[in-house]
Amino acid sequence: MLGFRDARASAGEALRGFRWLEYRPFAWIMAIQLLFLVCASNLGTAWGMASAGWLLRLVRETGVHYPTSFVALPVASSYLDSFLFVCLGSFLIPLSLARIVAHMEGSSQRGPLAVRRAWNAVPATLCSLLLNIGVLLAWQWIYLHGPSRLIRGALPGFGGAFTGWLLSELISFAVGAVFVYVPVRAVAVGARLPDAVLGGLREGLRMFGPTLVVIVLLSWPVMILLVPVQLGTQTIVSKFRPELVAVGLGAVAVLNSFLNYVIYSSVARLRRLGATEAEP
Amino acid sequence: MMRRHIVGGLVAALALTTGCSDMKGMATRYRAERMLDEARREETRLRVGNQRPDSTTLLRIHDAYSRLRGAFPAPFVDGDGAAAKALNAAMARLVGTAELTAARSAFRAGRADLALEHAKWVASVASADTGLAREADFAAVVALQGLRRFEDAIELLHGMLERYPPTPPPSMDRLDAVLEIPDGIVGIRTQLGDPEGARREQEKAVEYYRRILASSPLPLLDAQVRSRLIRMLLETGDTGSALSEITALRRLISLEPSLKSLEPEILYSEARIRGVAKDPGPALDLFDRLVMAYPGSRFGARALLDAGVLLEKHRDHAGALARYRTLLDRDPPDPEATPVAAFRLAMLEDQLGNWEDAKRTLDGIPVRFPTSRAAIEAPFAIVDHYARSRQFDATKLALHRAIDTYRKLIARDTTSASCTAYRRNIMRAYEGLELWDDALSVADEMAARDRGAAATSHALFVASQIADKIGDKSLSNSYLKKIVLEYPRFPLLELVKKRLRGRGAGTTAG
Repeated sequence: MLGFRDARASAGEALRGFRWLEYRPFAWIMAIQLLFLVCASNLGTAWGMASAGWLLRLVRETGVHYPTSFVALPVASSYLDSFLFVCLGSFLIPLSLARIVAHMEGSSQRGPLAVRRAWNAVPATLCSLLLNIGVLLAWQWIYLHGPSRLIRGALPGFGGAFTGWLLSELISFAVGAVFVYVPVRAVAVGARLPDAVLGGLREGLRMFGPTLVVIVLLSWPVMILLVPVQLGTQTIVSKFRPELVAVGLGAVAVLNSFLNYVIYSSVARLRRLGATEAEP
Repeated sequence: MMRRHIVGGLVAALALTTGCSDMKGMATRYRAERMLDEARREETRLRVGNQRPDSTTLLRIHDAYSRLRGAFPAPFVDGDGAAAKALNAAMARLVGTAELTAARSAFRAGRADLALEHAKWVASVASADTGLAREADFAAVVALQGLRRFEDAIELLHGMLERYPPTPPPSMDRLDAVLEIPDGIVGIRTQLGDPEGARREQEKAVEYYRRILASSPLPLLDAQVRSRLIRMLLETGDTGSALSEITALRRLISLEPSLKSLEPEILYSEARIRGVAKDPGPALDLFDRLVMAYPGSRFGARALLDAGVLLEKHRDHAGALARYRTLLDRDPPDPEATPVAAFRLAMLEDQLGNWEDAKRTLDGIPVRFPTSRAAIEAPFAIVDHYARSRQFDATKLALHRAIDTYRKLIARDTTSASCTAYRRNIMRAYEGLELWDDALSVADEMAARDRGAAATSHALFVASQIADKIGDKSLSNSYLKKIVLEYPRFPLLELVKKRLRGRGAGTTAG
């Protein structure tokens, strides 16, 4: 049975074993996120307005005005993140995992084999990402119609907002801890869609504790950055410089990209460790 | 190959959209919004720990806001489609808002000329945006008053009455500022010491309100206009017409329950009309009923004042004193009724032989109500008391104190329309003290600062008499010539011309 020490060890190993080739697929997603933030910070130009302005306007009508565009930016940015992870992540995450697994197996990280493994894992990864988002949307709906009122009633002001936000983050980590094994299994075993999804979910539930520990352990720096950006957007915009919101989101995107890679790498190692332990 | 096609397609799509004038226009609007925000931040930074910024700081705030106009010259967005027109209107509002804020800062910094220039520019770009044009015109009126161009300000206000029909309010506690304009014009004329002009403006106001009523406005606007008409009719003394308007207003209230808030005003107007009759009883009953039923209403304050005046007229001094004192004890004080009550209380106490209390009240008026008409009258009321009782030393002392009080009132608000009256009274005080050079220098100051005011023409006439008295005929002639050249409406103009002809001096400059 895997425990906290194993989780910590696999996270440490993943950090030490950072390889640019393995990380590169995540860097592509990050590059698009940063490009969007650059465009959103340049709405005073026609190209900025034509690109990021379009998405910001979808979020809210005031998204193309100054300084309210920066109030809408965190929401627009999260929509873009979800879109990128579902559309591009369905291929790029398995590609990174294929390279990680190949390295652990001692096989070639480049070439058609890694790409074929990644392509094969696309349906399962897409399913898991969509399911993940679906569960989170359902939780958000439940939260807004239940716990949110109770928390805000008991803790008015920033305390209530922070508690609610923290609870939502922890729930999203817990949901992520269950679904994260689907792409890992799809790449490692090369299983067909139902087996990859169901098997991945079973693995996720079985290794829920240590996986959640890995995710929480690695995600706290991002959470610290996210608190002011997501909860204090209005204050940053009105009391400080609105552009700080874009800077904060840029820092979150860079850190998140790196940590996502480390989490998938850790989980791949943790899964391998679990498989080794299970052998007689 | 495939990748090259995708990148090429994306670049072409972006180039196409960025070339679109809507995007360019929206980007321009965004830059203007950012610059306006920068100006606001600059203002906040400059105002931190500086509740009353000096003129240098105010001009820096002005500069921050006026940058927008330089950065975004009109027409703001190219194109003539609906979207371009909407963006141009939005840009005009943005840059116009910045310009009007710049105008306010410039005005506070004592640069009414700059404020007027900004206001005129905003009016020129406002075009179809009536709201912005109105704001620009109001800013121009304030600037013109600051430049002491009262006749121009009044002319502009009359123009506004023609250009901007009042909009029906969403509720009775909201009022279109245009409806306040007639009162404002009467107020300017009164402050300039021009009772005849004020009277003419009151008549014009009655005409204006009747014209609006003739266009069958919506009930809320109808009620607001009618209540103002009643007030103006009472000011002009036309009680018969006022009574018929009250009947019409009552009928309107019975049909529209949301107009119930006008009840105190109707009660007050009725009481004033009854106050004209020989028996003051019914009017006093109505005034008292109003004070009891609507203690928080501003008409309660007016009712107390009018009841006091009525009682004074019927020699019930104790009753009048009681009403004035009740009014003075009200918190917060009514800005219009309370200073008048304080002045009347002092006059009544003086009549009853209680000079010490009367003097204390008169001394307090310029301090408690510096912007009121009573503040102009109070220092000279003290002088008059000592002069009547032939206490010459006390009279001289009171004149010196009056000069001091008026100078403080001028320093408090150098752009106030009342400054003309303050300066005229300072001159009167110097005349009383027989300090002729000082009196003449005040007349010169009025000729420069209060040009065009009726009080200035009177001051110049008195100055010519003083110059005669001290034997300086040429100085006297120069004052008289100034009257002929600059004050064609001066009531004694023929006398002035005759005097100049008698002295063999022409009526042209030099």
